[in-house]
Amino acid sequence: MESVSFGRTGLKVSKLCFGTMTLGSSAWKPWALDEAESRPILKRALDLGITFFDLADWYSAGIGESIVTSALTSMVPRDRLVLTTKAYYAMSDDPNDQGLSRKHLLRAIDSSLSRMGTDYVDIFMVHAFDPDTPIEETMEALHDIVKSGKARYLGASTMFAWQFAQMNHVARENGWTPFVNMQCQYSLLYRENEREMLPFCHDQGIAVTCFSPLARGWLAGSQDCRSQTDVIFANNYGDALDRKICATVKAIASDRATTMAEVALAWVISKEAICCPIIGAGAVSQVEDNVKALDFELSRDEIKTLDELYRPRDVINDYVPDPIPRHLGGVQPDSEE
Amino acid sequence: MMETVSFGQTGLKVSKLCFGTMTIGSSKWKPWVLDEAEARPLLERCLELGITFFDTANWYSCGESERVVASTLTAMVPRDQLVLATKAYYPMSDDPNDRGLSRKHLLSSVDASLRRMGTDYIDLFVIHAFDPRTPIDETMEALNDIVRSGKVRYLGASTMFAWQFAQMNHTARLNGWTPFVNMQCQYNLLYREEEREMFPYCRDQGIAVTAFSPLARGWLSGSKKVRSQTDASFALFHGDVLDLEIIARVEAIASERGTTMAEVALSWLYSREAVCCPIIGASSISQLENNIAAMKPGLSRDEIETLDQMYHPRDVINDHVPEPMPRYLESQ
Repeated sequence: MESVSFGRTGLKVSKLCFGTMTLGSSAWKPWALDEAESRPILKRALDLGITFFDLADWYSAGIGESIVTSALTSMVPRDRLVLTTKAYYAMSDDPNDQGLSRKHLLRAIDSSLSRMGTDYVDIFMVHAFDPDTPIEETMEALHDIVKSGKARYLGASTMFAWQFAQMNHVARENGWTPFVNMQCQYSLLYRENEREMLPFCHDQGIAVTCFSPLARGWLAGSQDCRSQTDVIFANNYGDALDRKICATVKAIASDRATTMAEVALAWVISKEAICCPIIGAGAVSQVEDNVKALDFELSRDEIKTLDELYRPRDVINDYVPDPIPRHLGGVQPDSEE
Repeated sequence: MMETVSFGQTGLKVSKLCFGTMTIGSSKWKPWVLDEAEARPLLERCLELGITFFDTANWYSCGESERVVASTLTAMVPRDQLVLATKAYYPMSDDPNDRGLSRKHLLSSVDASLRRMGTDYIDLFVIHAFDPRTPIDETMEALNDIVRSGKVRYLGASTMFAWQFAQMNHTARLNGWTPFVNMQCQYNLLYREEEREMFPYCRDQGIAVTAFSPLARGWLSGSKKVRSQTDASFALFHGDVLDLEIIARVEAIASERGTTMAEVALSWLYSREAVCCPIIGASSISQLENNIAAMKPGLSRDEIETLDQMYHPRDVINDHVPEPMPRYLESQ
């Protein structure tokens, strides 16, 4: 697998990042895999050349960090890996055990390192923006974590572009470490970050990693496209336009005798704004299929066909609790089938 | 009498309404522009009604707007009682250096504006758009020098992406230069994209937001033929099925209340806390009076909700998105 420079840093990462939200403990979420099932998947990811793994304290309430890191470091030396982890979401009922306060961040990095059994993370990320903590407090705490040697680089995830810009501005104005990575949702069904975030990151040389390249399975054909739209939309996707894009992906997949997932992932890989797509997998075969997309090239016409269908939609983040389907100008969502 | 408000977190006070003067200057520039003689009574009426904040730009009527507006106003009230804004960015000639946000253009532009306006300072000097071909450092240093020279009191910016605006202000702060205290952007019932990024940023930073196109180029006052073929109409940025639905709701509320659509649309804008000053235009005294009369809280909570809830995200309108498209696909 190709190695790429991580934005304007000196760090090199595998072109695909492996996202580990599905690994940890089935007691956390029914779809999360326990350690025994996780190991062969991680092994296959390593065999296929993935060295970049994305974790978070919140995944399986910390068990994700433990089992992913112990499995990986039993197979390859720690220094060969690029490991991220994140902090922000509540780890307990304690109001100080969440968010981006100095108190929580310093405790969060220590807890993560102890669960991971390593003395550093490569990229320490804020999982979201915390409107209740001054940006200065957060950025200074993150800088202290970097200077202490516990994190090599800083990243951030899911927030508005102005918030991310403001955090980096505060860091620069104070001589603190800025973020070198933005991890955001991006797929054929969700392209809102093209408006502000991706141009900002391009301008600043910030590496963009993107999660949900298959839009929670919609772009792999695994969601039932025919069920009632508003219910589906509770999971953020499924309006008439989403389904039209899915149908186009399906048609191209069928023309090219491949899977929808491969087409949808190849589309993300084709985007220069994206440094590394983050792929998830619940089975070894899924890892293999995802990696194959690296060698699958869409034609310029196919990309254009896929591109031109998208229309703006509500943002998906914690501050927009109920994104609603697009209004399609009087066309009833189910009338086109 | 018209309310006076603080301009964001500055010490400057402005009239709650700003009068936009793109329609004043020379009818040779665009057929709908008023010449000096017709403009005078309109500007006089603005002053009588308590407006002290006037927005012009070098580009409006190729400089004639600045001349007519400033000379007419300063003939009627002392210069210091006015808050005058002007702008630079759009081409003033074929010369490639007579446009944009380069140091060269900004320094000559401010001098040319002062000369046309017959004043020795501008209250608010606004960059009309973002210039991707000039380094931000160059622009912000030139603007700072202009402020330090005394030619300009405050800086503003218009129509750009939030990250660009944030980056410009960041560059100013990093270097100890003057930051922008004003963002002027398009905002009305049919165009609310600035609610996503720009307004929250301005609120966080205490930046005064001024809003142009409160009637969406006439769509919200009923002066556009809403039943004409939709996609052709959309060439003018508005007119998709959802826009028409919002317009219908404005019309219904106006009819229930026995008032005009413009009054409903302006009252909605007036109710938005994110907006410091709506910028209103007018090409006749009666239009001006009606627009000003409408600028008051008047809509009920339910009416505001009825108007608010129809909006859905749409394409951005700025120079970098040459062809905004309707929200839907199917009727094509």
